[in-house]
Amino acid sequence: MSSAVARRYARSLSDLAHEQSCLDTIASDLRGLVAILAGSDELRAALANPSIPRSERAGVVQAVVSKIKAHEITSNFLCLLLDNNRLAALSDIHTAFEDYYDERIGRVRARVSSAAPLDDATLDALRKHLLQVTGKNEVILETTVDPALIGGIVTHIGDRVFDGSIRTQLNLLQNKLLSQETPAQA
Amino acid sequence: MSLRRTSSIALGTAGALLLAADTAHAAGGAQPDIVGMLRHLLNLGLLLGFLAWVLRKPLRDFLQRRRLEVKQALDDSWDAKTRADERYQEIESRIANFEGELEKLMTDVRADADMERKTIDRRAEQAAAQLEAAAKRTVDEELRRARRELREEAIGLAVGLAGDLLTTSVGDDDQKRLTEDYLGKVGKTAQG
Repeated sequence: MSSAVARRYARSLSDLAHEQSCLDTIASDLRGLVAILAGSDELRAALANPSIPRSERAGVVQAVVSKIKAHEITSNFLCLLLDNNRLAALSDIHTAFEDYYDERIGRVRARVSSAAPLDDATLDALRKHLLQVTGKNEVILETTVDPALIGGIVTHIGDRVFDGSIRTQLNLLQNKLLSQETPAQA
Repeated sequence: MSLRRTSSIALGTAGALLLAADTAHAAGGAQPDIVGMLRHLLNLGLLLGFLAWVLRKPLRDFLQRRRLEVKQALDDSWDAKTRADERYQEIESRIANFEGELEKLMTDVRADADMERKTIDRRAEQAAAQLEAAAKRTVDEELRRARRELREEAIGLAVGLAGDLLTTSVGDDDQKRLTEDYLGKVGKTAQG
C-alpha cells in the first residue's frame, strides 16, 4: 500500500476520533493492535490470507478487538480495512495516525542521536530548547546512541536537523578540503 | 521535263517523219532528186531547230547544275587539300618540337609531383600536430585525474585517521563540553 493511501485512512480515522473526542483511546487501541500483529506472524498471515473466508477473518478481528477492549470506532475501522483488504497496511496507517495525533495535540517527536548516553538534565534542557524552537506543547525525545558520531549530538525534528557531531564536522572538513583547488588544478 | 514539252517534242518528231516518208514514197524513181534532198535537209534542219528550241532550257539547266557541282567538288577538294596541308604542317611542327614538348611535359609532371608532395607533407604535419595535441590533452587529463584521485585518497585517509584518533581520544569531559556547546547552539536558535 502506498503511504498516500495509508495517510488517507489515518486522516479519516483521526478526524472521526477527534469529533468523538476519543483520540487518546483510538491511538492506544492502534498501538495495542500493532503490537499484537507485530508479535504474531500467524495472525498477520491469517488476516491477510484471501483464501480464508471473510466471516472467519472478521471473527478473528473481533476476538482481537475484544482482547484489547478496543473502542467501537477502532472495531469498525478494522472491519472496514478487512472489507477493503487493507489490513496489511495497518502498521503504515498507525504511523500516519500518530503523526496526525501528535499534530492535533500539539506534540512533536524528535530523534536524538548521541555518541554517548545523555543524562536526564541534558535531555530536559534539550527538550526545553526544542519546545521553544517548534512552538509545540510537547516534545517526545526518541534517543539512540551512535558511536559513529565520535562525539556530540544530532537531533532530527520534523524536517529540521540540529547537528553537533564530530563526524559531521569531519565530513564538512573533508568536503571543504576536496572543494579547494590545488595550484596544479588551477 | 514537263508533260507539255514532251508532247511537243513527240508531235514535232512525228510530223517530220511523216513528211520524210511521204516524200520518199512520192519520189519512187532512181534519179537523184535535188529537190527531195533539199526537202530532206530542210526537214532535218527543222527537226534540229525544233529539238534545239525544245531542249535548250533543260540542257542549259543541266549544264548549269553540272558546272556548279564540278565547282563545288573543286572547292571541297581544295578545302580538303588545305586542311591536309595544315595538318601536315602541324604534325611536322610537333615532330620538330617533340623534344621540347617532352621536356615541358616532364617539367610539368615534376612540378605537379612536387606540389603534391608538399601538400602531403603539410597534411601529415597537421595530422601529427593534431595527434600530438590530443595526446598532450589526454596526458594532462590523466595527470589531473590522478592528482585528484590521489588528493581525494589522501584527504580521505587523513580525515579517517583524524576520526580514529578522535574516537580514542574523546573522553567524558570532551563529550560533556560538546553537549554543552550543542545545547548552547540549539538554545541560541530557539531564542533567535
